[in-house]
Order: sequence, then structure tokens, then C-alpha cells
Amino acid sequence: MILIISNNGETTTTKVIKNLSKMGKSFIRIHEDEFFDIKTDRKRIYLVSEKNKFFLDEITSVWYRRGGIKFKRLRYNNNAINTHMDETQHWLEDYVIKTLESKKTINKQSNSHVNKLWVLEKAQKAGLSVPDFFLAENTDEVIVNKTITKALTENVIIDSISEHSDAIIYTSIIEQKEKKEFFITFFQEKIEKDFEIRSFYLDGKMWSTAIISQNDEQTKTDFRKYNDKKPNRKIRYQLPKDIEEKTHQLMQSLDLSCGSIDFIKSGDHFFFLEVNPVGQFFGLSAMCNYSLEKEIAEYL
Amino acid sequence: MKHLFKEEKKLPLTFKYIEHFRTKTNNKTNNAKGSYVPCKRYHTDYLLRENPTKPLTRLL
Repeated sequence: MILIISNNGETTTTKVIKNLSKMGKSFIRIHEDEFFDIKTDRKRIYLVSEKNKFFLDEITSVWYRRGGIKFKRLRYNNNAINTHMDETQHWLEDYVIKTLESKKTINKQSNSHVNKLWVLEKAQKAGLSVPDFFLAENTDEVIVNKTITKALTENVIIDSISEHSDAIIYTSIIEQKEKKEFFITFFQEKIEKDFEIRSFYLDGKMWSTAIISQNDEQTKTDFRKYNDKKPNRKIRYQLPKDIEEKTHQLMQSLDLSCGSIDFIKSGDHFFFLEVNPVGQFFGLSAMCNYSLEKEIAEYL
Repeated sequence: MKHLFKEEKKLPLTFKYIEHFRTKTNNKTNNAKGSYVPCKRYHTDYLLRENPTKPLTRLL
């Protein structure tokens, strides 16, 4: 039995499930809105929610896509007892998560959210080229028009920032110095790119796509500023073996078995930008005919 | 930036370059909700109604 941890509305999960169904593999899909009780039956542990019930020893592989397993916790009136029982319940939940993550997995709930700064340092240690980066509270060290800034967060969309709109933080070029100090901000050397490369990594294998985004003013700094009228050209691409090998080392050092990785190519150099363990890959998979959803279904 | 968002505390410089989207007027014409249907087989309440993608190999 395959356990899939995802969000209810996550469409890529559904694409993988279609392939699992075709292959006759049985699965359980759990959502962000489910809360599980940990129960026992004849020395076996099982989890039960309003929608699902399964024994831990039934699960053969786990795909952590998004969201996470959430547990119901009992609260007790006596504060001292409550603290003790809170810890008791914590260790039970921890055991369940550890047991599931010890099976064959595609990513893990416990480490699927990565720190961008930490990843950049790890990438350098793995031998990948990384554009120079630093944190600052002013623009003293910033070279105007040769430095970019981007959010440190995984999610760059801020819902309902005002009554009438949501907002998105794209990668942006710093065009002028600031007189006042600001909250610590991430800055990185701007690389003149030939094109961008988005790679999908699964258990040591990589599928790459070149995104020809540099000729379009709208997409040249961040290809996610999609030009719907004239979309960027996207084609299959083969990264050099040594870049793939170094990326594999990086993913192993981060204990990630799956993720979407961004590079830019500039002359003969490939610069590593970031890795997103829960990134969206279906669009590029369809565009390049990689059938990544089938690869995931086969792996599980 | 903090004045832009009426915040007392400092914000990162990224907020200067923030882009707003999905205004209320856009929502009126957004019919995305109608594109999803609940589906028991794939365990989701949001199955996207779409034309199946045709892999390039099928077109050759």
C-alpha cells in the first residue's frame, strides 16, 4: 500500500494517482484537512481519521508531496499532567512519522522545507557554482543593476495583502540605492544568462528543461512572470554529467530524494540557484514529454 | 516600504518590488471554481476538468 501525503486540490498528485491506478497499485491519499488518531489493535498500530484508516505495517512506500500528517491531541485539565501527556503524545507522533519515513520514500515530511541560505552553502560545498550572495540591512554593498533580491521564503505569494488583491514577490534587479535601512534582505550577484534550466530530480536521475526566457523583457529576470501571449520556449536539455553528479551529492547531503532545481547557464558556466522539494513540475513534464508523473508512480 | 504597507516595523527590500494581482474585478470573471469536480476514484474534491494532454509521441 502506497501512502500519499498531499493537499486536496493538488493537481500533480492526481496525475500520479491516475498512473498508479493504471498500474494496479493501491494507495491511500491523505489531505491537509485530516486529523488522525493513533490507535492500536492486537499489537499493531493504525491511524484513523474521518476519511481514512490504515495500519502502519501495511504501508510499503510513502510519497510526501505537500501538506503533512496531522494528529489529534488530547488536552488535560491539570497543567502538570497536560505537559506530561503532551510529551507522551509528541513521542507517539514522532514514532509514527519516523516509522513511515523509514520506508521507501519520495521526500519526507520532516525535511521537505529547506532553508534557501543553507542550501546555497551546501551547493557550494558540493562543488556547484553559486552566484555570490549576502544578507544586508542597507544597500551599501549592493552594486546597482548588477544585484538581484528575492524572498527567503518558500512561498512567494502573499494572499490578501490588501482588501482587493494578492501579491507576489518575484526575483528583482536592484535599480537604485536606498537611503534608509530595511529588514535583513537577501542579495545575490546578477548573472547575465544564456537561458534558465529547470531540472527535476528523482533518486539520482535528472530530467532537465531549458527555458529560453532571456529574450523577453517580462521574463528575463524571473521566468515565472509568465508571458501568456508569447510563452517562453521550453525544450529538453541535458546537463553535463559533472553538474548532475554534484547535484546528486547536494541532494544526498540535504537528504532529499526528489525536487525541482533551478540553474542558469552563462557561457560555459552553470550556476545553481535553488532547490524546491515540493515544486511544480507537471507543466515542464508535459512540455518535454518526460512523463514524470509516470516515473513517480513507477518508483513508488 | 513599511510606509507603503502601513507597517511600523521594517520590511525587507523585496517588498519594494512586490507585484499585486488577482484584483476583485478579476475574480468576477474567474470561472476556475467551475473547472473542478469532486472525484472518489482519485481521492480529491478538486479534480481538474481538462482535455487530456497529448504526448508528442502520439502525434508522430
